[in-house]
Amino acid sequence: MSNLGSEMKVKPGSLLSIGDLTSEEVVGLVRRASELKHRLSEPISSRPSSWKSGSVVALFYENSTRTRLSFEQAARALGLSFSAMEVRNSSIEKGESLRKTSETLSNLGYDVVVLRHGGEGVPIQVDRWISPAVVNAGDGCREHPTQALADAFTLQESFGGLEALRGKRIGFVGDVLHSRVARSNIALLSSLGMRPMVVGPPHLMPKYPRALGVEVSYDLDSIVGELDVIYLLRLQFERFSDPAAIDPGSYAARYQMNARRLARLRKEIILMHPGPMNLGVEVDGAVANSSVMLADEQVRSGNVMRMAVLERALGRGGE
Amino acid sequence: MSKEALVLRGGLVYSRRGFELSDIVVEEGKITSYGRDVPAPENARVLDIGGLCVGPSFADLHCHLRYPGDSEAEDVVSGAYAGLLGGYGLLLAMPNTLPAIDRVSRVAEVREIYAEAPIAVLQAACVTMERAGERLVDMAALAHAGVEFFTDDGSPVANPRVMLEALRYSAILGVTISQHSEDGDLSGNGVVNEGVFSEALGLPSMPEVAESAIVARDIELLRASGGRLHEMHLSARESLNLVRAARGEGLAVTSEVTPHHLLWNDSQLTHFDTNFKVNPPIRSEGTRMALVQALLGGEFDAVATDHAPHSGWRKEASFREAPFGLIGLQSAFSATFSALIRQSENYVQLRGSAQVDPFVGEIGDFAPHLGRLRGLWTVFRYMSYSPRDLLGVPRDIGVGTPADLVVVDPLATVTQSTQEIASHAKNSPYKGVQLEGAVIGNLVGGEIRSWQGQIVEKESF
Repeated sequence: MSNLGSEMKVKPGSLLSIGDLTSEEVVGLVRRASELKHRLSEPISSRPSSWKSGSVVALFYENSTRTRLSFEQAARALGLSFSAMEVRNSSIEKGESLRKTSETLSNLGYDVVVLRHGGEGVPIQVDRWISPAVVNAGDGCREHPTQALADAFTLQESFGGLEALRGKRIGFVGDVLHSRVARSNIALLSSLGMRPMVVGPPHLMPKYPRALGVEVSYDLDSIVGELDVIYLLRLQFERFSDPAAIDPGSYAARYQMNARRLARLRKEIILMHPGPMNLGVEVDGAVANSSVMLADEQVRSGNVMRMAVLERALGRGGE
Repeated sequence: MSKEALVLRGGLVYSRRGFELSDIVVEEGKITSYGRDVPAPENARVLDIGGLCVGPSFADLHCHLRYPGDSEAEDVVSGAYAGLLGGYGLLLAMPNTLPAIDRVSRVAEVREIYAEAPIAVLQAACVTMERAGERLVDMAALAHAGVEFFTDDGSPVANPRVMLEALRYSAILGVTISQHSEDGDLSGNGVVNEGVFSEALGLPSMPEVAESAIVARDIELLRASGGRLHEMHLSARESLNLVRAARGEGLAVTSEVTPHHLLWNDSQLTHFDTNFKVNPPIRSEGTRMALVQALLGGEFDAVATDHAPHSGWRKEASFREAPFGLIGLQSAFSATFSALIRQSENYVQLRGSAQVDPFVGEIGDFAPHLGRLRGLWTVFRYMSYSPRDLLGVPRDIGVGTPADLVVVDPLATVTQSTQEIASHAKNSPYKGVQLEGAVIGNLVGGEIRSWQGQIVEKESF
């Protein structure tokens, strides 16, 4: 009876999951981010005034200074107003309900709600409840679509266009179980023709890999030579709830990207990390600062891609 | 009790023998005449129910009426009205209330309220004091007070030593221990079924083995104790195998399945509608089909609702934080019937379900709808006859039997709206969903108490 019940409807402008985007929209967002990147290098006075209306509020139930600042920079660069509301304790027993809080923001008249929550699917629920567009800034272990879009932008710049991504192999290394970055990236990069796989200790790997459409390896050294891109994931100790408790030292021995492993790789290898890094765990200091590590570029891409996503949320595809 | 005689004319009647076209004459709360074209008593009201089907009203082995303690979600009257509209005449209320029903005095208190309800309500008692899982309740005193079912439902009796003692008492007292089978370490912080959908959605999950591991353990305990065990809301394929094997060797184990586990699969999770958050979780399509197959094959003793009201604001939370549970009394018939007939239509050859047509007489205009009539036969067996047997109030339809009857339309479709929900809480996953089959009427003690979705006040129909 999988087709009982109503079809899921996402409001136009909202970005809740990578699956909400058509491939044309992905191409459009990448193209637009590219234009914005050039625009940002121009003097402020030459930027179009049409950008300067609209209000964005960040509703964050989880701490994330970096993502919040990235959205804030994107909003301000577009001339939009930006406010943030941080809710320390999302427990419904200790405050107003999720629905009431989001309805309040809607009633305050914001045009876009940028939402981060520890609960999977919360942006989908909130999008049903309120009229402003909702942009998912990370929901639990499910999705982080703007991060994935930014990463796709970084990759296509590095490889020379979206078409060049076809057939490239990318390995996500580490804590896939708890990674919304991996889930969104796997969905997006697969749709762009890349061949994703996941590598790490068995209890942090998917039990149902076909759900993600990936191959699984438990042995980094045996597959690392086949990869074009190595995407290092942060071990999310704060989300470990079960026997997934892990010894950072033994993890590092098998999966850390360090100078020794890097020396055995091709010169063209690309390394990525969504930050913040646990230095000495998934990556060592030398690799973190090496020229093949694109983490800094990922942050800059985040900025322009979030501008493109906010424009889309406001119903503006360009100038 | 109505003095006026009532004749139900032209319905297809489901008795224990099978189904046949027959009139039913009701006088003084009992069936006084039964058969084709029976004469109506003088001054009788004659109701033409041609095209409709009649059987003993349904009985639910598993519902939460939330009395005492959570009148915002449900109370005895609202819950009983939901039952009335759902075709129920008999409910077994779960004891996980605030405070929990763990002593004779509390059973006596709730029975006073139940006496005012429009349908019969029985009370189950806890297995352990305050459902804390540590000290057994005074099972002997409660059994002498008439309690026949003991359960800590909402959570399992986790400690095997406590469970073994409870089963030993059940053997001595002739009562039943109903178990919510869940290994808390295996289910962990899971909120949905473990499978491709939990993987894709990143939701913390619980595997089927979290249920079947406790079913296996309890069957071992039952073998040692000789008691009576009822498996609540089974939802794992391996649980079915374990129960089948245990019954095969003659152990006194019975089991139930819920309408929502028969109808839905975990692909619904992509909508993030917290009304689908329930424990045990909605399973995969493969397991769902196995559950339907098991019901058709006679492996369950009952379809039970696990009707679990939660007020709206509690469900308007993230999937992780929202409470487990959905309401099901009003939709149970249509949900179960839909699951059965859709499966039959999809899979003509039903493995393990002996398709002996249970009609004993003429079926007239119903002849083109044999598939639906067979489905309805299964519904009456497992929503009415069998659970009534387990509850100690067996029923049949014939001269002299009490007129607690449900009238259903097997050809109608229904789509529930929020306004139609009688429960205070509206946490129904069936809202806006088209289902097959409709409850048309409910007779309690010979009186029509609901008709066409409306409650009928006493003596006013």
